[in-house]
Amino acid sequence: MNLYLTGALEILTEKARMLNAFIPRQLPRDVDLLVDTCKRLSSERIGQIRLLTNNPQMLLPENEPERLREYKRISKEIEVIEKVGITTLNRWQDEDTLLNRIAHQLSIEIKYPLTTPIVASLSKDFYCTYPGLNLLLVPLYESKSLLYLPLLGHEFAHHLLACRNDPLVEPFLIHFCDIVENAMDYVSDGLAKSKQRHEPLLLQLYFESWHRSWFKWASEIICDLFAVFTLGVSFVWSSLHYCLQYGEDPYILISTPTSHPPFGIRIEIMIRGLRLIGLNQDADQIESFWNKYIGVSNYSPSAEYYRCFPGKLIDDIVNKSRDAVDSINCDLIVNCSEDDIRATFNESWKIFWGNSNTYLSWENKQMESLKQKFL
Amino acid sequence: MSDIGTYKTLCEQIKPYAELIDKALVAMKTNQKDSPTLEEFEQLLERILTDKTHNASERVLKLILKSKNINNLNLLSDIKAHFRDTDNIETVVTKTEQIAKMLEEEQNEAFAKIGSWSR
Repeated sequence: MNLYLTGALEILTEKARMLNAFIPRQLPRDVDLLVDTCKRLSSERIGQIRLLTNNPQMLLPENEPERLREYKRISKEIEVIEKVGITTLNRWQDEDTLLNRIAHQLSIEIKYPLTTPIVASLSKDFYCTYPGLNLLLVPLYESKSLLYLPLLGHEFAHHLLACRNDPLVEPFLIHFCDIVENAMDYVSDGLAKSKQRHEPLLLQLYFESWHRSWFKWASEIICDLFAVFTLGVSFVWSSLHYCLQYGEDPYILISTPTSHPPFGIRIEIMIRGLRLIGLNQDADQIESFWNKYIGVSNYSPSAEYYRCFPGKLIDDIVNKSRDAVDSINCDLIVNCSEDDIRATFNESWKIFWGNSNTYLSWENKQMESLKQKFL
Repeated sequence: MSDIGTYKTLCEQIKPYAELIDKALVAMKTNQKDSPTLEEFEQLLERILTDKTHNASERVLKLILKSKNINNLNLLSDIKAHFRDTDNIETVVTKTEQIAKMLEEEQNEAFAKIGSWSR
């Protein structure tokens, strides 16, 4: 194994070094941060490889499992740098510059406490984010349209959850931990009671799967609420739009762990979030549309669904998420001014609902005016 | 909205601890009793198990382990209880390896979501 690792680590070092040659040299200043991040991460990986190669203790047979695990970890990290970071730089398009300026403006308006992530329209998985690279990928069409852009707010929040050792962001993470702990305690308690009552084994399997899922579910929910509180109803419409286009049964709960909570509970939480900051009229409109959608689609929640998401737990999550956003001094949507990009996002949904026949021509004009403003 | 954000978030939070635990394992297996890495690992266990941590990332680590299996906290307690016990070094190594593997699984899951590595 050590003979293989010695050769493989040498090849990996050369790959990490050579990747930098794929970074084009005439990129706009907007991506300087991504260039620096990719180069820094490559150098750090090379440093780690040197430790694996030169540290005599690492070469001892009894330490092969640790050496192998570290080798795999470094290999995968280098792949992410290559397939996500460097590829983004290599395929950089002018349209991405507009998206970046919009994202940066949004980050200023909401008083986002981290460096604005770089945004590139290179995603094949809808909106997805890479906190380690400070990079956010969106699909190709996003530089031409406004209706999904509020989802940037949700992705920004993922970066807050990934942040380490920043005292200005840590309170957000602490509130997140409180939410997870509370939810896991609720599930543990439910599981214990279910066992005492000799309830069906399947229900106990559900409880176990919820226990394993809540960490990831809470990540998604706090990111949703961050976007609700800072961007308002436009984020909720964008999320609903996504659910209607691509979503499955919004009340589905399976007995194995999942990364995302059912969309039904996400929308209910978003509605409660809107109400918490006084946007009752917006909440009513969303709720009414959601009920129509559920009626048309003939979806209905199961008994397990209600057991998984009791109202008291949900209220606690909404309140704690609001505290989390307040704790890092982000600006709520209720303070938004009419010149804000988030006001444009909200306006886009008003126009869409007001007269969907004229929406596209309105949107084209808006995109042109954003280009003039930001480019 | 995709899985990637959640999994990459997890990965970013886990990574330093996964590396620390691997270094601690090397120190245990090569009998480096005075290694600063072992000291660091022992202190981390102490903070996590006594809820004395003011570090949010350490709370995240505890929750990740707890969410994978509620008994993982007992596993950490066992490691802590026998940490300096030379008669039980093999038990400590075995249980620390279990934690290391669990964190590796979680990281593998995250990398798999990026789409290139099947599990």
